[in-house]
Amino acid sequence: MIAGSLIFGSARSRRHWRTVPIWLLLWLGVSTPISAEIESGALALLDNMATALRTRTYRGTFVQVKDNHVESFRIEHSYDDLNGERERMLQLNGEIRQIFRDRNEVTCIWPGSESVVVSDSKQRDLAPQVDKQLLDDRAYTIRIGQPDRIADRNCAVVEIQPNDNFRFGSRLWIDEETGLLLRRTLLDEAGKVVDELMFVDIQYPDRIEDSVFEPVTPASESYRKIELRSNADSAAKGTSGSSRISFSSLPDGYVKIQEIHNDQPFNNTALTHAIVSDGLASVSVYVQYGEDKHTYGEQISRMGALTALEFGMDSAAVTLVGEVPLVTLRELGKTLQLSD
Amino acid sequence: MNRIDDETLSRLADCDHEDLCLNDCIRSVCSDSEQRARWARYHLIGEIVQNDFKTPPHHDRPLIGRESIADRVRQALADEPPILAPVTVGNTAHDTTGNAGPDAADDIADDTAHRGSDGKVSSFRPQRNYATGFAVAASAAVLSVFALNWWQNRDSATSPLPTLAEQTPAEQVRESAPAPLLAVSQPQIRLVGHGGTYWVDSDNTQLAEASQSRLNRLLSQHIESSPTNAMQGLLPYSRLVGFDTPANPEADR
Repeated sequence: MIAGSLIFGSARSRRHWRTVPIWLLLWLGVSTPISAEIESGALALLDNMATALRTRTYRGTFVQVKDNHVESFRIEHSYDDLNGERERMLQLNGEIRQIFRDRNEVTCIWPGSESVVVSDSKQRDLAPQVDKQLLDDRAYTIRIGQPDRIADRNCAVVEIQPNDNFRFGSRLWIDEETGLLLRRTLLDEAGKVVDELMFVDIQYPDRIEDSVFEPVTPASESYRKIELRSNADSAAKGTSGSSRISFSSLPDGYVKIQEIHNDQPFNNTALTHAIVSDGLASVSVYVQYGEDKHTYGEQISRMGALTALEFGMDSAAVTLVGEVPLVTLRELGKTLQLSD
Repeated sequence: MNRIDDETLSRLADCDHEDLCLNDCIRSVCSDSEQRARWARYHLIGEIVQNDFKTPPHHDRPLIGRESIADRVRQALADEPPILAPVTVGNTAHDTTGNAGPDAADDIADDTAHRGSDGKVSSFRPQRNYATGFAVAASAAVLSVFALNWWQNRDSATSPLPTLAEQTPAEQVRESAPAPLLAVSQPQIRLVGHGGTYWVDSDNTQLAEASQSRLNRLLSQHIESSPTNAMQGLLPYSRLVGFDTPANPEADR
């Protein structure tokens, strides 16, 4: 099936053909040698997964475990040429929280606070965004694990092991037939699971009714709509490619991949947002000017595998957020340099 | 002398011994303590089922009680709602409504006894007892399920509090196929201690609402902007869904 999808599916590069014999060996149950070719096959799987998550139409139920807290969700995703990607996520436990996303906006409905929060969505590239340089990074060792079965689907398993303490490891279960990510675990340096997400049911219908993806604002008058659009005022639009944030050095494998500056995104204060990534993990660095937070010292916050580090610097409030160990945020904070 | 098997022992207890060598059987039972104990149990169980206990001279009623198990099974079946009455087979009598009546119950109870090859009702067959026990257990289980359903429906029907579906506007809980979970009336659910997950500080203390709101807003931007998160589609948003925004998000602006 995997070979089939690689041969007859997207088959975006010759590398897929090169990996076919390896997959055939896997099918025959031959033990897997760790080699560059296997890693290349794993990257092809990741490529395939990224594409499948955006271009497949699917509907499923998944659970997420974080900090011994289990949540269950239903997700519906559709893709067609006319509407592009459309998604809806519904929390199945407790109050009914929903997120709708399409090519224009993200709408979150929070019954608890009786609010509907609408923000811009960013256009996603349909081309896979897995960093092709991962193989040369030395940041991770990537290998193919033993095939497994998740939500009654046969899965290929990709194991991603970090080579230092600046990133989490992960294990990905990818539907052999469709390429969809069906289970993901994040592992800390001790191999302990810090965050887990797993589908318990997945379906691939030909199409999902349009009405599913239309956010319905609750009729109750007590609900308030909160717009967090940066394009509501053209003057407030972000400027990409700015260079207000730099680092004197970065942890091995990390590079700064993006920076956007908004003069007045929220509360009439300027905000610069940079993203640093190693190809799999990413950290957002926010610098909010005019927010003198340095007097409060360092603030560390955590939620599951997510860590946030806040501190003051040059009359600006700096916040780093990412699914990485705290040591990575501290290292980035230490080497951060701001310029006007 | 050969040790007799359990089936032969059962036939012996049922007086179904025409083709057996009675002397050998008796010798076998008498010489084996395990078989003697089994013989005693067979008779005891058979007598209980048939209410064949003779009232001892110093008692004014049978040892087990005035009603035998068979009587109580018969009575329980007769008392069951019609839909729960077991479908009888063969020559079971039915009343005019089609429900199994007392005669049918008699037949069922009689079925717990074994008819010997001579047509005489024998006192006991272990297999029949298992069937009887199973029937009683199954009836009790079915009764429990129906009783629980009735109790829950009664509660939801009489409760002044809204159901989960009623707590949220209908438009908001619009569901798609295949599982209209929220469209049906559900038992009363109190959302106790289910506020989702929150940012906590290094002491595991939940952050203040203003800080929660600020971090959530940045997290939302991070999820939307990060190309590595985009690899996972909407899945990273599950982290946000676990959050509550404060009642007045503008307060910390």
